[in-house]
Amino acid sequence: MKFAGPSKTGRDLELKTMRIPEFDAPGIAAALTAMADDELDALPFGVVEMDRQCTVLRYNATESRSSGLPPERVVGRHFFRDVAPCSDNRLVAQRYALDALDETLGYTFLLRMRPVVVTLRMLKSVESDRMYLLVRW
Amino acid sequence: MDPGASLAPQRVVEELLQFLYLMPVAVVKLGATGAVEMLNPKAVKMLHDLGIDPGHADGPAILDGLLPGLAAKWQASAGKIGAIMPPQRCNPLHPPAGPLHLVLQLVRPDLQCTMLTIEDVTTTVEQERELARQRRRMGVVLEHIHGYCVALLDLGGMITEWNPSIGSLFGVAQGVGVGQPLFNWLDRDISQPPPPDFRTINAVVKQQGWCRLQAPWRKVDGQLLWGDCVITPVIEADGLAGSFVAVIRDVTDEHRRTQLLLDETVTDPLTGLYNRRGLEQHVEALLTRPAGAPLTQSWVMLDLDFFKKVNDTHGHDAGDTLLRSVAQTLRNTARKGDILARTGGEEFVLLLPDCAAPAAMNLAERLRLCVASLGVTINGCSVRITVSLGVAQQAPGETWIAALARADAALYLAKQEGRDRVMLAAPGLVSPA
Repeated sequence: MKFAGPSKTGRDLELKTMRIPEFDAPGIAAALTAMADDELDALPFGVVEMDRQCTVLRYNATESRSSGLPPERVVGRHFFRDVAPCSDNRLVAQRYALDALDETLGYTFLLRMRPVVVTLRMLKSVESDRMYLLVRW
Repeated sequence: MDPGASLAPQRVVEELLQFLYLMPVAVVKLGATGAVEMLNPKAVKMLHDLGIDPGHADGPAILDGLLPGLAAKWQASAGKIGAIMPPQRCNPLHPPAGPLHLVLQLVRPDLQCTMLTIEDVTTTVEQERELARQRRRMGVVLEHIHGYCVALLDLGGMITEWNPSIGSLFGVAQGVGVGQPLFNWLDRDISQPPPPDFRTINAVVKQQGWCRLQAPWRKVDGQLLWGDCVITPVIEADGLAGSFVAVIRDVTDEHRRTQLLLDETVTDPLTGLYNRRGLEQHVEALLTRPAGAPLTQSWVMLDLDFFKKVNDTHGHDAGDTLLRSVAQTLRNTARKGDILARTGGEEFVLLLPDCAAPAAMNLAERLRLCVASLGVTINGCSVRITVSLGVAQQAPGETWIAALARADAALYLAKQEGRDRVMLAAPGLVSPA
């Protein structure tokens, strides 16, 4: 837990807070795009980074632990069709047809085939070529 | 060899997880109390689509959401191991996008768990319905075409289905003949070339894409029907013929008309027997029979004795009457299937298929006696006439022209021997002409 735990100084706190965006922080997409892989892995929520064709670019460690699938089994695949068909429907996958998207949704995901109610945040913008699905387990 | 044996346990788990993630059929595992213990992503997606949140709904709510009353059925079966509900179709209420057709199955492998599978068969059902619609439309079209019979055949030529117009065409009730060869309905007259068998048709259809066959068919009441039959293959997705469609049109009237026209060119107008051309046509047809052992056939040439004297004494009308009487005698005496022709003034030829020399000699002798006993009354006086006959059995390898020439030579001998007699042509007999 590299970035978790109380920080010692105010300066540190400020720095870390900036570097550990909250699940529902506004403008989080740009921050995620700028993050290095290890920073993405350190986030306490699941992150699926996709291109506009829904091909997975990055799959962070939190999401990997929850789903049980390591990134190498996921990256390069069509997320909704080949990785998580449980969300390939109008509630989730079809929302990404919109030009811009920032919606939060209660949904049931699977933690090793057991139903778990999660919060999804779906992100897409006109400016960026990256799309995100955030999962708070 | 077990391909998973070399994998680390973690890798095995990953493979199994991925397998479950991609499973296209929804599977839900319920615990003994009805809690949702496990389910695969397909199940999550399908339940969400139906407005059921598998994260909050328990087993009975899911069961009833799919098929009202299913939860009660599951509860009633408590304690029972095995199939609780065999695969059953259902249409859950309020599907979000169009009608949804699912197949549900409920199994309890042990007392602690129940497995529910959900398969989306909407596409299949839609395809089946479209097919049924097409069949109904085709049915309407086919029922209302008159004079046509449409039959579906399997690759062996057996009728699998035919339209109701068959009833009026062949005079049979709906469904009669299904499972039997279509060609059973062909008329089998031994005087005609045999109808082609279905393997021949099959080969032609394969080669040129269709096959046409004009042939006599036999109705249930025994009446003859001339049918123009076109057979086309039904090509399946693999590019091969999976079945055939036969369309038979009733052309009896047309056939009768063309036959009349044709008859005039091959018939001797005086006697109604074939003329030389008619004889040749029949010989061609008979000799080009495709299959079967070659037939033994014999030829008889018949000539009226002293016919010129009759003409000179009693006039040409009397001669014509006499010729007609002899022709009628030939008809009465010959067998069904024998070909009778008047090939010259007072000269007749008989082709006797499937007939060897002894039988041909018998027939010729009977003809001689019948003609001799004919009492033809011309201008008040009774005229008697005799005939001379030459008989030849066509030898293997011998052309029909050569056989006929030998019969002619035998006839010449009969004349020389004093007329009113039958002579058999020896194998090497040659015409004196």
